[in-house]
This record gives sequence, structure tokens and C-alpha cells, in this order.
Amino acid sequence: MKCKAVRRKIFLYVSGDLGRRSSTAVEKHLTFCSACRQEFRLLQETLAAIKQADLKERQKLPEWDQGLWAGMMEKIAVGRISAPGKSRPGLGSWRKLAPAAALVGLILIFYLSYHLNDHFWPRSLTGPTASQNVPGASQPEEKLSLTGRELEPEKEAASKAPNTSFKLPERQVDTSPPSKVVVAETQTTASEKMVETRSGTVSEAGEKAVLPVPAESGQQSARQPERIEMAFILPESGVQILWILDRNFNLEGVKK
Amino acid sequence: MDEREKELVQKTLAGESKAFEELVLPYRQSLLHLAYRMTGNMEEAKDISQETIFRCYRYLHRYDPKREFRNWLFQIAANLARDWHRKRKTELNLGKRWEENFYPALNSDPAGAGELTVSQPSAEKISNIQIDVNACLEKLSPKERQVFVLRDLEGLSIKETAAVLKTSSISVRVNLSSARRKIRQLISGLRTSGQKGVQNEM
Repeated sequence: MKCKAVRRKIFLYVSGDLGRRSSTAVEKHLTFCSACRQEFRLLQETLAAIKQADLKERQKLPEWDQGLWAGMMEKIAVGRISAPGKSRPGLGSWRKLAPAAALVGLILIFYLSYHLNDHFWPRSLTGPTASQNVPGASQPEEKLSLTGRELEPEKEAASKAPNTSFKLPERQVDTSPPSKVVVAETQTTASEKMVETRSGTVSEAGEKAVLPVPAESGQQSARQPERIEMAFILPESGVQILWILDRNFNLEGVKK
Repeated sequence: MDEREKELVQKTLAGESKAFEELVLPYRQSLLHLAYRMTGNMEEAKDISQETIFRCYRYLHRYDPKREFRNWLFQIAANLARDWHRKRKTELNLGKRWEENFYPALNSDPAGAGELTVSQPSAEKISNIQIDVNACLEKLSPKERQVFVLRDLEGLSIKETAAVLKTSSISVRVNLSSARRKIRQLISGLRTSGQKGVQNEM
């Protein structure tokens, strides 16, 4: 072992904290290297001197204040310091109850939010959301390019509508030009579906099936239409087809 | 842990606070000494010792009777001392920053402050030098200081020191070696400066 390595290891060798192999190697080196032996001796003296100094200072260290000690023991005796195994007074029971309290709080929040929603935000105000949820209600332009064949399923669906248990508001006949009719019809359909949705929910709650007119559908839905006209424009030929339906969605006539 | 200590622990856990006093009384002075060496401040040492006693009582149910009771007490004290060092470091950093910003002149002063004191500068032998132990310990890092105090001043083994500090034996060896090297250099520097001082006087 070289001197450099020995000088590193003597700091642990001096107290016997080095491994057996390293200790043997250092010991062997110290037998023939006087410089390392001198360094080792100085280290021994240093540690001995600092221990000696510490012992001297330890004797001068002040004793525990008897009054302080008595006060500490009294605190323990009267229970101001919590006993072993017991958590701090006032906190233990709350800590155990914390998850249950959180759960109750969550349930309360859900319960209140549901009921407050019913009372303070009536469903008529939630109309836009309902109409947006109706499939096809927000896509009036698509209907302009539909062909008569494509409209067949919709017609069937419309003819089935009177069979529903919900009472729909009556609609007014729209006599505006075809292009406007299309727009009016679309709005009517959307609002109608919306009303269906709403009336379904309300009738489940046991209330009156006929609802107040939603705010967003305007005065058109407030009136009770006798007939509905649906206009279709075929983009290839430019032919306009007008369907005239009664209030029960029965086909009364077709105009080209 | 001897039988008497085991009995006292059981009695304390059963609710006899008098037994606790009997249990910790033999260790209170070594506890104060350990805290003093780890902090270098007597007031802090008293606070740490007091808190150690309270924590010892509060968490006595967690004590493992296989361990030596003194070492368990030392562990609580070492943890508190470590927290104190962290807090002090933060305060020192804040204070230093504040001083640098508002009182730059303070930093240029005073030369030689905090240096080791040599009462007998002419002494050649290390044993003749009066060593300020706390001043030596101040030159060590908190970890080195803890290891040095426990191993060299309190006489714990490497394994016991590692258990008290909740660290590995390797870490203890590394820090102990480093601490001893620094102490050796400091004392060596003291000898050299003492001899030079003598030469200048002559």
C-alpha cells in the first residue's frame, strides 16, 4: 500500500473502524514508513487532545436547573404532555373523523347542488343546453341539401310523434317564402324536440304536461300552429318541394 | 437495555410518571452535553434537551427494548439538533443576504473572528495546546459534526452512530474520516501558528 492510500485510511484505522484487510495493510506499511508512522502518531495525539479538552469542558458544563427539571416532571405528571401512545389532546378524535366528515361534506354538496339547481335555475333556463343536445337541431343547413329520399326516415319519425304521451304545443302555419319556411321549420323542429325533452322530464315528476314556452324559441312557438310547411330544395335541379303537414304531422299535400 | 430500565419503561407506559423520571434521570447530563456539542450553544442545548425528554415520554410506546435506551434518547436529540441546524442555516443565509444588501461594511470585519484560541502558543506538543472544542466543531459540516460528536466524544460505535443518525455505516465512516481530517488540519495549523508566534516574539 502506498503512503497516499495509507494517509487516507489512518483516519479510520486510528479507532479500529477499518476493515480487517485494510487494517493489516496499513499496519504493515506503518512498520517500515516512518513518515506515515509520524502522521499516525500526530493523529492519535490530536484525537486524544480533543477528547481531553471535551472531558474538561464537560465537567464545567452547568447542571440541570432543578426548578426547570421539577417543572418538566410536573408537566408530565399532570398530563400537559400527552401520555405515551396517545395523540395530542383535542386532535386525535378529529383525525379519525376526518375521512367521514369529508364524505358527508361531499354528499351534502352534491345534494344541495342538485336541489338548488331545481329551485334557483328552473329548467326553462336550461333550454339552450337541451336544444343543443337534440340531434340535428343545431344543423339546419344540412336539411337544405337533403333529397326527398333521404328525408323518408325523418318523415316516418315525424308521423310517429303524435303517439308520444306528451302534449305538444300547437304550431302556427308559416306562410313565409320557401327559403324562410325552411328556417322557420328548422327552428320549430328544434324547439319542438326541446319541448318534448322537457315535457318528458316534467311529466315524470308528476306535473302538468304542457309547459310554458321556452324563452329562446320566441313568439313563434308561443302561437299554436295549425299546419306546418316544410320546403326542400334539390340542389342539382333547383326544384323546390313543399310539404304541408297538419298539427299531427299527417301529410296534407305536396307542392312543387 | 437492563432489566431495571425495562421495568421502568413498562411502568411509565402503565401511567406511572414517577417511573419515567427515574428512567431518564441518569441520562439527562449526557443529553445536555450532546445537545451542547451538536449546537455549540448552551441555551439551545437546554431547549433541545427539554424537548427530547418530552418527546421521549410522548413516544415511549414506540421504543424498541432491543435497543439501548441512551441511544434512543440520543437519536431524538440528534434529530432535534439537525432541525435546529437547518433552521439556523436558513436564518444565517437570510441574515447574510440582508447584511450584504444593507450593511456591506459589516462583511469586511473582523479579521480572525471565530478562529481557534491558543492560550499556550509556545507549546510544541499537541497535548499542551488548549483546544476550544466548540470552535473546532464549528469548522465541520452538520453531518460531520454529528458523527464526530457521537463517535469520538460520546464513544458510540460506528453501528450505533449509524442507528442514531438513521444512516448507513458507510456514510458514518466517510463523514468520520472527513471530520477527523479537518480536526487534524486545524490542530496542526494551531501548532504551526503557535510556533510562528513564538518565533516572531523571539
